Amino acid sequence: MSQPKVNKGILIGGLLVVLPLVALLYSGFGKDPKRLPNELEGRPAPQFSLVDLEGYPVSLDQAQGKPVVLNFWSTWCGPCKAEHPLLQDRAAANPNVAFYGVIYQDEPEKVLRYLRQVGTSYRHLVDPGNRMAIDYGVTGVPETFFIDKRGVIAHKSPGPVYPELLDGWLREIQTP
Amino acid sequence: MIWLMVAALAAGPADDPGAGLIAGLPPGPAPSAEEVVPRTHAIAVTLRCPVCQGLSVADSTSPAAVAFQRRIQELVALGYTDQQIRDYFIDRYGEWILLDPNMNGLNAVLYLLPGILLGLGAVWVGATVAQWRKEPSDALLPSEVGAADMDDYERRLLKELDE
Amino acid sequence: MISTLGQSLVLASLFFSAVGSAAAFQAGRNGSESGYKLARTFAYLFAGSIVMANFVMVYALVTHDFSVGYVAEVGSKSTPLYFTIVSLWASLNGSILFWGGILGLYTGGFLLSMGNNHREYMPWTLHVQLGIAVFFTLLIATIADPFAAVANPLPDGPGPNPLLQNHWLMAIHPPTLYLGYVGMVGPYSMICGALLAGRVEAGWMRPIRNWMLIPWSWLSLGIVLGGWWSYAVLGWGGAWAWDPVENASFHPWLTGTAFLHSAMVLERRGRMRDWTLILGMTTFLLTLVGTFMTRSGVFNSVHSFTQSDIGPVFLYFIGFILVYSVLLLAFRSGALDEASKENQRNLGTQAPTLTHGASLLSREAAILAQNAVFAIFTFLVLQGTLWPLVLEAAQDRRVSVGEPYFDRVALPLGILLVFLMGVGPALPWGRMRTEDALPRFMGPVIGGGVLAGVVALAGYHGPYSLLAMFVIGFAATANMGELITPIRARMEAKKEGVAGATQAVLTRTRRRFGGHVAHYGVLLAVFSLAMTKGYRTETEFSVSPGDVSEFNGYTLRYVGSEEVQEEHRRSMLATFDVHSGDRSIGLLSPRMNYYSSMREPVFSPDVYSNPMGDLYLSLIELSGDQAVYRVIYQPYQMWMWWSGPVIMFGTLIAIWPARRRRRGGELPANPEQASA
Repeated sequence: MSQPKVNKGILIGGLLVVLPLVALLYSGFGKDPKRLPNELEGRPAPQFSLVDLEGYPVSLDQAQGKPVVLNFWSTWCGPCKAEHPLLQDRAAANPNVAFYGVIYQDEPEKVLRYLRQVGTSYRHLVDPGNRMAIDYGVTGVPETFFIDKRGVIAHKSPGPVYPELLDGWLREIQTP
Repeated sequence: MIWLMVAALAAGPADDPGAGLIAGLPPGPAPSAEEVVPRTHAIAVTLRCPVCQGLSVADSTSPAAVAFQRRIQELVALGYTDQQIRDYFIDRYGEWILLDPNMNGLNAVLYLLPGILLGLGAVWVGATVAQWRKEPSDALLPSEVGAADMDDYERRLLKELDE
Repeated sequence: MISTLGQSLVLASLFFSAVGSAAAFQAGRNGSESGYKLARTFAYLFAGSIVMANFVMVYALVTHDFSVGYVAEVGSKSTPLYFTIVSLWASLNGSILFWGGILGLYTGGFLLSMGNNHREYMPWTLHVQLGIAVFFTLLIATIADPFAAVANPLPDGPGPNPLLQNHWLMAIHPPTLYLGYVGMVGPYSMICGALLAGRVEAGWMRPIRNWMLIPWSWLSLGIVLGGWWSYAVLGWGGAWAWDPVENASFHPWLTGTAFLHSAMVLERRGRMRDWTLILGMTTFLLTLVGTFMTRSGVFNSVHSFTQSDIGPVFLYFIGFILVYSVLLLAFRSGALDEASKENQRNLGTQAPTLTHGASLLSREAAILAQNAVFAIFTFLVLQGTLWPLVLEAAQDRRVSVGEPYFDRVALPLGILLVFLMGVGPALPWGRMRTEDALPRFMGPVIGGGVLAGVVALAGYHGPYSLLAMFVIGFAATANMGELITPIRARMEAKKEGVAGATQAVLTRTRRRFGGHVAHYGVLLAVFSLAMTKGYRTETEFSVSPGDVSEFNGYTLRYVGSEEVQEEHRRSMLATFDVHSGDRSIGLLSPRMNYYSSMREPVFSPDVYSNPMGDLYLSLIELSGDQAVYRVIYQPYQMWMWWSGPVIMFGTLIAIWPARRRRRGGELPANPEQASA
C-alpha cells in the first residue's frame, strides 16, 4: 500500500484546538474553585449599626480603636456550632479585641435558646434582612472577619476557623 | 416578624441603608410600587447566587439569595439605578457575582464570536453545497427529465421498500 | 479477604486488557485469524473479570465489610439496602470501578453483536478499545483502588453523601449518564479501527452508527433525568441551570446528535466522511473532557468529588488521546480515500463511497446545515463553560458565565435546529428542482401555523414562543409526513390495506421510523422548554396558619409547619391544603432539609403535576408561625420528562435487529438498502 497523503488541514487545525484546550485544563490545577473573590481585604470595614440580642445598639464606631473580630453564623449551620467553643475561648482570653457574632438568617429566639445552653462570652448582633452580611460580601456561614485597629479588614476567613488561623490573625490585628 | 421591627426601630430610621456603601445618590425619585418588583427581578436574574451552582439570585431559594433579593428590592425602592445596584454588588463580591459578564476586555469575545461563527458556518455550508451541485448524480431523477407521473420521492421510497 | 479477591479481579482485568490490546494490534498488522481469536478471548475475559469485580464490591457494601477501603468510606449500617447498593457510584473510587464495569459490559455486547463482520477493522478496534480499558483498570488498580484494605476496620462507617438519599432519581440518573458516556468508547474505537486498518468494506458505517445510537439514547435519558432530579430536589423550579456539569453532559450529546445525522449522509451519499469521523471521535473526547472538568475539582460543582491524585493522571491521558486522535485522522484518513477508490472499482455503482450530486434543497444539504449549527452550538457552550478558566489563566480575572449568556446562544440556535428538523425530512436526497421541492413545505408550514395559532389562542402569544411553536409544528408535521408518505405510496403501488402497508413499512424501514419517533421526543422537550421558559409565573407569599393565598386559579391554605428529625437530616416542613377551583388537590408539603455536613439547607419542593402544568411549592423561610413560600406555575413541564422515554423508544425501534431475510445474515452491500 502506498503511503497515504497527510491531511494538513486536520493536523494543524486539530492541534490548534487540542493543545490550547489541554493547556487550559492544566492551568486549572492548584486553584481552588471554591475560593471566592475577596474584594474587601485591605479596605475599611463597612459601618454597621444594629442591636444585639438583648436589644442594645451596637455599631462599629463603638470599638474605638480596638481590633474587631466579626463572626457570621447561625444555629442551623453545623460547622458554626462546632467552631463556637473556640471563638468563645479566644474572646474571653483577648479582652482587647471586640468579638461580635452576627446572626445570619436565623430567629433570635432560637439563637438565645442555643446560647443559653452553651454560654457565650461576647455579643451577638441581629442583622435584619442580612443587610450587614451583604455589605460585608458574605456568601455563607460561617465566615469570620478580622478588622485591625484602624478599622481596615485584615482578613476574611470563609468556612470554620481553627486554632492556628484564629490565633495567627488575632496576633496580626493586635500588632500596631 | 416582631424582631425585625424591633431591630429596625432600634437602628434608627432606615431611610437610606445604602449610605456610604453605594456609589452616588439616587438620581431620581423613588419608582412606583408596580415598577419595583419587575425591576428587582430583572436585576436578580443577572446576579449569581453566591452559594449555588450557577443559579441566579432570582431563581434560588437559598437564604443568601433571598437576602440578596430583599436588598435589591430595598435599593430599587429607594430610587437607585440598576447600574448603581449592580455596581454595589460588584464592589462587595467582585465581577464574579455577575452571571452575564460585562462586555469589556476579553469578554467581548463572548459577545462577538457567536455571530462570527454563524457567518463562517453559512459560508461553509454554501461552499460545500456549491461543490455538490457540480458533481454528477448516479442517474437523472424523473423530476429532472420532467416525466414525473409518480412523485420521484415516492418512487425512491418504494425502491427502498422493495429491497 | 474481599479486598484480595477484588484486587485480584482488577489486576486480572488489567492483564487481560493489556495482553488483549497487544494481541489485537498484532492481529491487525498480520491479519492472523488465530491472533484475532485470541484477542477476542482476552476481551471477553477482561469484561468478565471487571464486571465480577463490581459484583464483589456490591457484596462488600451489602455485607458491610468495613475492611474494604471504599466500604469504609461510603458504607454505613444504618443506610437502607437500596442506597447501600447504589453507593457503588456515590464516591470517586467506586464510580471509576463502575465505569470499568460498564466498559466491560459494552465490550462484551459489542463483540457478540459484531460476530465475524468487519474483520477489516475489528482487530484494530479491539486494540484501541482494550487500550482505553488498560488506562481505566490501571487507575482502579493503583491510585483509585476501591479495594484497598483497611488495617484496623471500624465497626461502622459514615454512609454515603446525604444528598444521594434525597430522591430516588439521584440513584438512577448517574448510571444512566455513565451508560451514555462510557458507551462512546465503542464508536470511537471503531473509527480509530477503520483509520488504523486503512480499508473498509461496504456498510462499514452502519455498526458504528448503531453503537453510537445506543449510548446516545442513554445520554439523552440521563440528561432528562438529571433535569428532573434538579427540578424535584433543588427547589428553584427549573431543570437546567447551565452548570458546568450539565454542560459537560450536553457537549457530547450535541456532537453525538450531529454524528448520527452526518453518518446517514456518509452511508447513503458517500459524503462528509472526515467530518463524520471527527464528530464521532469528538463525542467520546468530550465525554472525557467533561468527566475531567466535573470530577477533577477544577470547577466548583455539586458533582465534583474531593480533590484527588486522579486529576493530573487523567489529564495526561486526555492530552495523549486528544493528540493521538488528531494524528490518526491527519495521517490515516488519506488511506480511506484509497480504499474507497478501490471499493468503487470493485463494486461499480453499489460502492458505499460513490458520491452523488445534490442541490441546496436536499436532505443532505439540510443535514449539512444542521451539522454546522450543532458544531457552533457545541463550541459556544464549551466556550461559555471554560470562559472563567480562560480569563483566570490569562488575566487572573474571576468572572462567571451563566444562564443569560447560554440562553442568548441557545434560543436562536435551538429554533434553527428545530426548523431544520422539519426541513430535512421534508426533502429527498439528491437533486430536486426548486419548484418541485417547495410544495413539500406546504403541509409543515400549515402545521406550524396551526400550532402557533392554537397556543396563541390559549393565551401564550409572546413573539419568541410563537416562533418556537411555529417551528415545532413545522417539524412535527414534516416528520409525520415522513411516516405517512411511504405507507400511502406502498398502499397505492402494492394495493395493500392500511394495516398491511404500515406493517411492511415499519418492519422494513425500522431505522427511519425510529429516527422520526426520536425526533418527536426532542420536540416534546423543546415544546415544554419553550412554554416553561416563556410562561412560568411565580409569586411569594408570607402566611400564618389558616391564611389563604390565591394563585393562578389555585387556592392554597396554609395548615401549619412541623419539624421532622430523621437519622441523616432534620427537616422543617410546611403543609398547604390546595384546591383548584372547588376541586381538592390534597396536601402539599415543601420542606427545608438540614444536613449536618452541609453549609446550606436543601430546599425540597412539593409539586402537583398534570399535563397542562405543574404547581410547584417551595419553602423559603419558616420563623415561628410565619411561613414564606414561593409558588410557581410551570406550564407543560411534565412533557419534558416524557421526552427521555420517547427518545429511548425511538432508538429501540431503530436498533432492533432486523430479521435475517436473505442469504443467511449477509449484510446488504448496497448502502441504499443498508440504511432503509
